[in-house]
Amino acid sequence: MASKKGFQTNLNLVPFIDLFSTMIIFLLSTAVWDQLAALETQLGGGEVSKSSQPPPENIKKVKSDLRVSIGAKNIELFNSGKSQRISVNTDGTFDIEGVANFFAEARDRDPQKRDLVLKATDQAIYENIILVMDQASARDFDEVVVVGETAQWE
Amino acid sequence: MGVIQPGYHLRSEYDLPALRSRIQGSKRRRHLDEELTLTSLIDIFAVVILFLIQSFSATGEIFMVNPGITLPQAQFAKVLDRYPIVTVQRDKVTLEGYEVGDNANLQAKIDDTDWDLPLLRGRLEAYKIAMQTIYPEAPFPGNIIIQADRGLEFLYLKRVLFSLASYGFPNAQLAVRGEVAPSADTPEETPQITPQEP
Repeated sequence: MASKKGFQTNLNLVPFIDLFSTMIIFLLSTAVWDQLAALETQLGGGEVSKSSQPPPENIKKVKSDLRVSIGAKNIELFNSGKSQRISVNTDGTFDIEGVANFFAEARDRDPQKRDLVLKATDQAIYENIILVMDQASARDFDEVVVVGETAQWE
Repeated sequence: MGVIQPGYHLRSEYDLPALRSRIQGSKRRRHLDEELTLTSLIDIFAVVILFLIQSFSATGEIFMVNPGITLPQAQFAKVLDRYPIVTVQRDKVTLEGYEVGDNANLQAKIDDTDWDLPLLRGRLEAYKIAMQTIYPEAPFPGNIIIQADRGLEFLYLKRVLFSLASYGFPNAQLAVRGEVAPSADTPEETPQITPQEP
């Protein structure tokens, strides 16, 4: 009776390990651990001013019917005569859904509109400004103009 | 039936030949041609490589976030391009790591209408001249990156933002933490260099 010989072969894993090691070293050295992005905003002015005086924000006039005013205590939203106020809690949080709904309504009202004026008081928290801009960006309001609290609506 | 010495009595289905041979005191056989089990090593390598490829970014790291700053989170942000980076903190303003302004007693400065940041202006003007020398045909984009702590009051940002606008940098990219939204536009091709010493 003929003996059964098992088919036995070993895969050479050394090239695999070489390749994997090289890939791991390359990917680790080029890895980006901080996922950074940007929210674009526009400011008034264009030419370099030689004056040491501050920008004349008290006479700045901004024209847009979609406006957001961010303060330390509340956020006011204006769209074509309709206004809405959202309170900022003591821990700095606020009803982000309300802001999202506001921009959704504004988008439904005017699908082509892209501009938005964002007015912030001196005490407004930067994170709240970013959150509002983020919600605006979600609805493609990406031409955001930031003004100070003394800017006048036109 | 005589008395027998109790011995190894594990049933064959649970038998461990190596253990049995050790208990029975048999000599350990050494195989010099034994192979290392590499399957688990390759499994780990594969998992690590998949994770690293998934988090791979072709654009690389634009800049290192200042350790004293926690960037705000955003979900619908756009691609961050490489422009001069202005860092706004409660005590100072820096451009690419160089201190270009002092934020101490800022309220008094505003009351005295002392908003100007001459060091920042000097460095940005040098940057602007360099850009226009290298790319004389292209219009100067006036872009700049601003990073600030998420808890910072707008008062500190306002001074820098409006100063930047008056220096000819009206397009600010506010750096945030978060992945780029899928619907975001692709970055436009604009010439980019870092500011030089004035």
